[in-house]
Amino acid sequence: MNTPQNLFYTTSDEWLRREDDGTITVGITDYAQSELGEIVYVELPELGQKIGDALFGVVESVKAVGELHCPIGGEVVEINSEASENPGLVNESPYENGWLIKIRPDAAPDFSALMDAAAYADLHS
Amino acid sequence: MTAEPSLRHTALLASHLESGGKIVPFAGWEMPVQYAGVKAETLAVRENCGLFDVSHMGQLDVRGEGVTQALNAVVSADWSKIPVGRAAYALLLTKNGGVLDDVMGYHLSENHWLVVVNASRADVDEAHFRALLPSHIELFNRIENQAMIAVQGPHSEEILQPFCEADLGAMSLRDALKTSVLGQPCVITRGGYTGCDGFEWMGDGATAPILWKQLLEAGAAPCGLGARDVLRLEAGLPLYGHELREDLSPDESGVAFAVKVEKNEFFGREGLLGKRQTPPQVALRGLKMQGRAIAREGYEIRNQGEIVGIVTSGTPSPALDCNIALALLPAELQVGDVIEVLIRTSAHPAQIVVLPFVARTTKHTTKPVKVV
Repeated sequence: MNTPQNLFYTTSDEWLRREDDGTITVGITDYAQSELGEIVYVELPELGQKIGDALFGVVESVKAVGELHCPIGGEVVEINSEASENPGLVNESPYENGWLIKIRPDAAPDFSALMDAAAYADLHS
Repeated sequence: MTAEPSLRHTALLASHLESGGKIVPFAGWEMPVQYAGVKAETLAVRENCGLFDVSHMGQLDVRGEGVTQALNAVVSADWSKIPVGRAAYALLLTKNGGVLDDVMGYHLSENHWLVVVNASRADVDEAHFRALLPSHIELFNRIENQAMIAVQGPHSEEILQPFCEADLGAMSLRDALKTSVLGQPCVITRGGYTGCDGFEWMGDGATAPILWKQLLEAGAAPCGLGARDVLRLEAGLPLYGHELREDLSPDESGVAFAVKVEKNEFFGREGLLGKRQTPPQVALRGLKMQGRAIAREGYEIRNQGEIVGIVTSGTPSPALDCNIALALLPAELQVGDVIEVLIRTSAHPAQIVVLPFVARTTKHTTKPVKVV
């Protein structure tokens, strides 16, 4: 199981990456894509949509629905339409080409509630 | 404080682990949900041959003088017309004419039937039979040493034949024979739950892993419960707990063909006739999603602004490269009509289509077949 060091992790198996321009990129972890199996459908929010507590989309395999949550509120500024068009990308490259959305956070984002790589790896060991 | 009952496992658990099967709990059993992946396994069955461990299903040996008549008073179809060497589908009805389960019966000899039932309903069905069969009829639950492997797909005959004494080429759909495989007595039937040609082997637990391994070496792919569910959905086949329920009549679930009210009294006949006083308000239909969003069990269906129905089962279809579903809809809606499936916060159009979604490729011969 691959768990890159420079990311933050949620208990619902999303990863978050702070970018230099202040945006945050969100995707699902290697563990999540492996559990789901071959992803056949990716549903992402619209540009400009506000992300909050509710799910922001789904990734689905034949048998399972993976709800996507982002613990940091903000506005969607970019979506990975390549992932929507080629859902297998999320399996192949969950941390790189298979990223899902970028948000501009509402306020100074609080990452303290999120896990680091070591804590996330522990969760699934 | 109550102890959690531990899960049972079939004679093939070690085989599944060896093939890389992902094991999950199902109906009190540890079962493989997938190996290579649901999509790959589904396509392997449709194009070649796949193996399914279905040993967890209930297998009831029913024997005695007049057993056919005795069973006929319990099941919905007319099993009095089923000769030795043939299998038949039927429903078990509730007193009110709802569906308790669907079952397959195999008429193995004059005074002997094998009845196979859903794993999740095995206890309920066994109790139902015990309560209704006359006392001189023996009912034996094979659970201790049973195994059952479904071999499904266009190449299933050529893959299974070398291990089987009976001439599989001479078997047509729903033939059921006592024969031997790998020198051990067993039952072989032609049929299955996939809409493809195939066979089911019912034998003993010791032979199962040996047969499984031989069939894999001969080119069959191990397939799990995930693929099994996709295949049966593509074939338009109902599943208890989804399309078949105690609170739905056979007419509502599209299985009226399995009921013969003209035969003598059987359990639930009166209840069903009572329900038939009013025409059914709902009917089971096939849906094809028009977009890429996937309809799943429990999603609501809207027509002209009103919630009118519900999805009972839904999946992406690897064979058709689109998303399909079975749904309970108002009886007046017809094939061709477009309704909306509510998925999360939006409405996705779907068209009512003819079933099955994928054409059946089961094997019939020109031999006259008694229709149940």
